[in-house]
Amino acid sequence: MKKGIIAALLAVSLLAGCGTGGQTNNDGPEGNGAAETGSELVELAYWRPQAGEEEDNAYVQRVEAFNKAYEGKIKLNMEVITRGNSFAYEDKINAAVASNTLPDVVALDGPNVANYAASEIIIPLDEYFTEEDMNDFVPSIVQQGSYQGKFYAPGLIESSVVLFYNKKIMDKYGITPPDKIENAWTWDQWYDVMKQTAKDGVFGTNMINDKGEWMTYAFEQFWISNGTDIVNPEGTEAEGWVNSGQGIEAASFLQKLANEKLFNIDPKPTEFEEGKAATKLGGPWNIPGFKNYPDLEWGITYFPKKAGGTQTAPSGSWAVGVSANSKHPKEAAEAVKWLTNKDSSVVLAKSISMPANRKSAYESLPEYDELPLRVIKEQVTTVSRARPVTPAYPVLTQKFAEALTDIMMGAEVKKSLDSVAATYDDEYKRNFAE
Amino acid sequence: MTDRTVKLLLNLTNIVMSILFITPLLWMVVSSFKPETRIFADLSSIKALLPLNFTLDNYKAAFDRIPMMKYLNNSIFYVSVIAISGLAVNSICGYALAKLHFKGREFILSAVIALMIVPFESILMPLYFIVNNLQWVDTWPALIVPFVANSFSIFMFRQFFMDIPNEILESASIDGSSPMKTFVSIVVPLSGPVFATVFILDFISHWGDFMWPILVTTGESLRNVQLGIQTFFTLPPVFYGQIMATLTFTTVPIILLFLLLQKYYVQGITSSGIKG
Amino acid sequence: MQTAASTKALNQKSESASLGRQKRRETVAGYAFITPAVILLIVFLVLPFLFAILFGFTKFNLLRPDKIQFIGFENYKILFQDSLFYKSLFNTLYFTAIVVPVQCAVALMLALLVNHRLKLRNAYRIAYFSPVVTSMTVIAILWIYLYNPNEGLINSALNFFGIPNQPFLRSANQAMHSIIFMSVWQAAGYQMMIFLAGLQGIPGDLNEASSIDGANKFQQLRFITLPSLYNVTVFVLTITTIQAVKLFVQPYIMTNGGPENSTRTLALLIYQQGFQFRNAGYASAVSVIFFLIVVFISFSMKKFLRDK
Repeated sequence: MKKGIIAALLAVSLLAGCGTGGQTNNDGPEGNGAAETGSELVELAYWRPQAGEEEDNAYVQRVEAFNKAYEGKIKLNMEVITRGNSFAYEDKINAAVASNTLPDVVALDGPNVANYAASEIIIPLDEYFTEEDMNDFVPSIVQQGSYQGKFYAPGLIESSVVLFYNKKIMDKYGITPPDKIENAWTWDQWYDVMKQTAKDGVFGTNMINDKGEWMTYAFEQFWISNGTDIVNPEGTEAEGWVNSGQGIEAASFLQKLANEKLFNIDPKPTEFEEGKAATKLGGPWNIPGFKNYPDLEWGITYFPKKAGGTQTAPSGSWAVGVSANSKHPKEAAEAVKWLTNKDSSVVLAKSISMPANRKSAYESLPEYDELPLRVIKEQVTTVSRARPVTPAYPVLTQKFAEALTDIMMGAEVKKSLDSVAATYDDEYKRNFAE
Repeated sequence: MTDRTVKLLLNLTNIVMSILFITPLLWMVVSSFKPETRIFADLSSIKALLPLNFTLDNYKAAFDRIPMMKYLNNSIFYVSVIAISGLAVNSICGYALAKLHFKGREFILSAVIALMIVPFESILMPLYFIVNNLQWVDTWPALIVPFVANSFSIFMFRQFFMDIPNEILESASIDGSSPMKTFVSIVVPLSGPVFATVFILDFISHWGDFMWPILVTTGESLRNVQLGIQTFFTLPPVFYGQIMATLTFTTVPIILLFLLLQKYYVQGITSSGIKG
Repeated sequence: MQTAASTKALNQKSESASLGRQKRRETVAGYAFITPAVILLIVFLVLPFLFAILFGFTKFNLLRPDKIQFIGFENYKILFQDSLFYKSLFNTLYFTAIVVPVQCAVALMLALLVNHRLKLRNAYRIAYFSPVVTSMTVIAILWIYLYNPNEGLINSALNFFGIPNQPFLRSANQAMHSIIFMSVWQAAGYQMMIFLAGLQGIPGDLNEASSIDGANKFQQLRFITLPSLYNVTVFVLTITTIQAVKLFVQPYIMTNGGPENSTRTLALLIYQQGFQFRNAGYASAVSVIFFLIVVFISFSMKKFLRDK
């Protein structure tokens, strides 16, 4: 089949009068020429999606440091791909896979690790990481980067979701949010706070960043906290998990908040900053923006949990892996290690106010020992959970996000979750079951 | 009703309707000159459309972040090449389908219409394979050549050329003028409005190119304005002021082009010899 | 038989040698004129689409091009059992059925409004055309805010008249209509431009002569303006239909197909399956069915318009 397609494509090339159809299409990543001619220098291509300015600069700094440290041996050429607010970067990867032009080192979003690993686009890196190294990563990084017992891609940084609160509003109602993880608000306590504070054009909370990946990233934890998840631990089945009794309970809680208008389904991005929401489910990335609002006095407390349930928190980040196309996997793994070592972790964490991916990095980040950031560190290093590790993740997240959004707008809870389970199980059976 | 009252009524209707249509553009432009914190804070009142707290910070920050002028030049260059070469290729094809008789004409016309229907999403990957095989990735031809011929433009030209009276063409042909000469010296001058319309519609549609350039370009050198804009849609926090600034900056050329082409609308009437 | 035919042809030829030469010249010119466009279309549109049709018969994960597998009509079997496909098809046709007549009428009205010799007409034209050139991101932010179920401007206006808050985009019953309303507003300027180009071709004499004959403005419109716009109108209706069935951006940005799939369209389904889920085979099968349905609609419409 593939041969037929290639042959037809060759015909096209000739038809177009270009006559270059003989191209083998198996060149692999660019920039390997030097190694092949016998020189010592190995050139590696590295793709990653464009991020914010500070983050971009941090990567440039770390790549320059790498090239200096390995001068004459390895040269890492970083190519920044526009990502936008869509799947443009993933589409670019799809195209590169189809044409065998993946770079040696490739950045990928955490939940895609399983998908890429199952498709054999990236290779396992276990042999390059010592046990000590692995233990130094926060647990969610290892969970996110592993597929079927092998470790493929370490996260560059971590993330977390906490509950921000508006101090003035809390003071007004005499509410003292917890500052110890064992006292974290339960859903019911949080609900009471929202009920109390939601008046005069102020919402009880602000919790919709977008209606896509955010929905899975933030709200899967409600399932986990209630003792279930949205798929089984093996990632092979959603039936009986996403739509389990506990799952329905979690979704119903979120629906109750929506029905009682305790949050805005289409909030302005700056609702909390303008004092129009008493609390906010958000992440460390929100913090730099707060300083533009001098009237805002804010604090951080823990991700709410189910009474008697598990304390948990979202996590996840972009990771780096070595592509199966690479002719220099050893050198590429060297680069991956460098980009995720303690120094890189510290540089990144400092530049973008995101929590570090390594426990040891926090030694150099004293600001995380004090409130408010201590909350983030505690969550990241102890209770955070990665999103489901499954090759069918693209379907899972899309359908889950759609269903949860529907539920928040009043759709029948069980029916919506049943449909997620059915679609996911179908997809998994059709495309990933052995 | 007198002419004067008709004019007054028309102007009134037009003014009310114009406000309803232009508000988003106005909001975008005004917001681009506001501090980040005011953009959404002002949204719930008329302040949203008033240039309060004027600042150029968004533009400074945006231009600091990316080489916007370079992206603009790139876009102007390749989109103009598509649109101009498109005018040539598609207009003669549309003319043949409208006025020349040859076997298979109806079939070609139907095929052209059918091709307008093909969803671009479904051919994106196969088209990428072809362009990759031609070794055009990361070169201008990848952005230009596949889009020169355009079934939409062909069909539009064809429909407009149908309205040209046959007598004019026949008399030229009897005078011994070749079909090409007839087309260039008679049809083209008669068709200012349609050429202008096809040009601007084609230009706008490619000005918005995003998915395709992502696939076929990797380096910095061929990036267009849409890729520039998308730089600012990153992980949160998203700076809407900078987004509004780049969007405003990239919409201006289109508005200028639109104004520029207005004169061809009038030209269509005068040059056809029917009173202007 | 053959001899008779050729004799006849020969006779015709001798009768009108010059006419024949001209006809031949026209045929040659015809083929020459279409060649550049046809070659480009074949290479960059027909061929890729043939591949898409081929992919429709395969199981093809975009990340596993090495594992592409021929599965016959399996994708089509799945598709015809997929309730989401029927739902998307229905939504697509519903959107098209409303948007095409409404949008074309609005566009024609706008074109007539700015076809007069008014001092500010260029400003009006820019205003009507501006939603077409303004980024969809900006438009979406504003309309999502206008439609906000809790605090939107439209709801404030409704409250003023004693009508309670409406959910608009966030309700399965109202979402599609909210998108339709917005789409007409957003895209009418596009068709206006084409009508305007068409109106410029109508000789001013005709309208003036008729106005001397005592025809009022409405009669002028009905009996002179509209008939002379026939070819343009056919074009506008056809392309509006084709653009409408491809509805993608508005639901993608504003509702992501929801709530409860009430704004899921075929184009959205194709994108989601083909790119997000990487099921290129299945997505191609949907494209093929989509293509066949729309071809059927456009050609029956064309026939209907011609037979009129």
